[in-house]
Amino acid sequence: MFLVHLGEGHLVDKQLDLLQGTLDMLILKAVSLGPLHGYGVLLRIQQISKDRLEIQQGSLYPALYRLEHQGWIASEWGESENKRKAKYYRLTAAGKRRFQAEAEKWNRMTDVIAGILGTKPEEV
Amino acid sequence: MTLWSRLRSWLAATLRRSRMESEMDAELRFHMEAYADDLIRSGVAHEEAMRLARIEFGGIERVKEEGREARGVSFLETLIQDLRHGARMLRKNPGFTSVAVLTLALGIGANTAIFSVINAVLFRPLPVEAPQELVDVYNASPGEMFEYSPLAYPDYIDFRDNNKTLSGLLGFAPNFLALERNGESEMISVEAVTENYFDVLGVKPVLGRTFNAGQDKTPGANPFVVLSYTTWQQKFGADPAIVWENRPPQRKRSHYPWRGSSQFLRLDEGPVPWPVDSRKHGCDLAYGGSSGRPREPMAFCHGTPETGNLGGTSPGGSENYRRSASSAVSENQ
Repeated sequence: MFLVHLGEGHLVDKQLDLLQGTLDMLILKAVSLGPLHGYGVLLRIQQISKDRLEIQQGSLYPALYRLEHQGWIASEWGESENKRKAKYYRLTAAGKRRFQAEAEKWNRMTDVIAGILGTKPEEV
Repeated sequence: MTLWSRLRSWLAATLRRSRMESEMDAELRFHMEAYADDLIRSGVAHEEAMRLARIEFGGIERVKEEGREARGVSFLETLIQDLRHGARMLRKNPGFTSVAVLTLALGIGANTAIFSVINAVLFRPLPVEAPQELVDVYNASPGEMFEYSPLAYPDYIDFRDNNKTLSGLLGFAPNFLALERNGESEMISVEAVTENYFDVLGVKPVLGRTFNAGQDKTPGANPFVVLSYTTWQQKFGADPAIVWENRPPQRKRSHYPWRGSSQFLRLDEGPVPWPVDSRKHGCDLAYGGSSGRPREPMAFCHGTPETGNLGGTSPGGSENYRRSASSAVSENQ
C-alpha cells in the first residue's frame, strides 16, 4: 500500500511492509492540520513527505472509513476548491488523543530501533 | 465514545445502505476526477488523464468492498449469506435434513425427559418434614426372584407396633375411587394410607384436619378423604367451604385440602384412610409400600440397602408372603 521514493524520483517498485497502523497515523496527522477530502489527504501526505512517500490511491479509502468507524475522524460533505461536492474529514477529540498516543509510541519505537541499529561492536 | 461511534457507523451503514453506496461512489469519483484534473493541468491529454487516474487508483470494486468491511457492514451480510446458503443446502438434501432434525428432536426430547425425572427425584425434596430421614421398609428374601417385597398388612401392623428402630411406620397403596359431583362422576386416583400417614411425614393440612387415631380400625366406617392441594385448587376452586366442618352434617364425605406437591408420592388426588378390609385389598401393600422414620440417624450406603431386624413377630395370616428372618430397610428414593 506504500511506495517509497528513494533519492531523487527513484521509485522502489516493491511494496514495503510498514508496521500496521502507519497509514492510519499518517492520515490522522494530515487531517490534524485542517479538514481535507480524500484526495487532499493523499496530496498532503505526499507534500509533507516531500514526495518520498506515495500511497496507493485506492488504499486510502478503506483506511479513512475504518478511522471514521472507530470515531477518530468525522466526515462532512462540503465544496472543493473547484466548486465540486467533496467529502471532508476532520480530526475528532478522540482522534486527537489517539494520534498523540500513537505518535509517542512510534517515536519511542524508532528511538529504540535506531539505538539498536547504531550500536557499534565496542559498545556491546 | 468509540463504541458509540462504531455502533452509529455500523447502523448507518446497515440501515442506509444505498445512501452509503452512492456516497462512496461520489467520493471515489471525485478523487479520480480531481487527480485527472491535476494531470490535465500538468499537460496530459484528457483521455489519457482519465485512464491514468483509473489505473493509479487501483481496483475500485476491491476498494469499495474493503470500505464496506471497514464500516462493519459485511458482518451482517456475511451472516445472511451464510444462513441462505445453509437453508439452500438443507432444502437440497432432504434426507440429511430429516435425519438432522430427528436427531435434534430426539436429543432435546430425551434430555428434557431425563431432566424432568432427575429434577423431581434428586433436586426437589419431598414436601415433607426432613425427607432425607425417611426410609422404605420391605420384606427381604435374599436369593429369591423378588428380593424385596412390600409388607403384608398384618406384618405392617406388627412392625408398626413392635419395632424399636422407627419412631413411626406408615403404609400406603394406590387406588382408584369415583368422585361424584353435580351429577357427574369421575375416576380419581387416590392412595389408601394408614391413619398415622400424615403424622409420620410431618405434614399439616391447610384447612380442616387429617385422620384421627383409630380411624382406620373399622373398614368403611370412616370414608374420609384428604385432598391434595392441587386437587383442591383445580377441581374445587380452592373453596374453603369444602371442609366438612363447614358443611351440613348430612354430607357423607368430607374433604381436607392438604398442601404438597402434586408429585408427592404420585398422589394426584389425595390419600384416603387405609380401610382394613383384607378381602378387598388383598391383605397387603403389594402396589404401595411402607415408609418409616428412624428414631436414631441411620447410616446408609448408596445402592446397598442396609438390613436390620425391626423386631416383632409375624402374627400369621400372611401366607402369600414368605417372611425372612430380617426385614430390609433401604434408603427412601
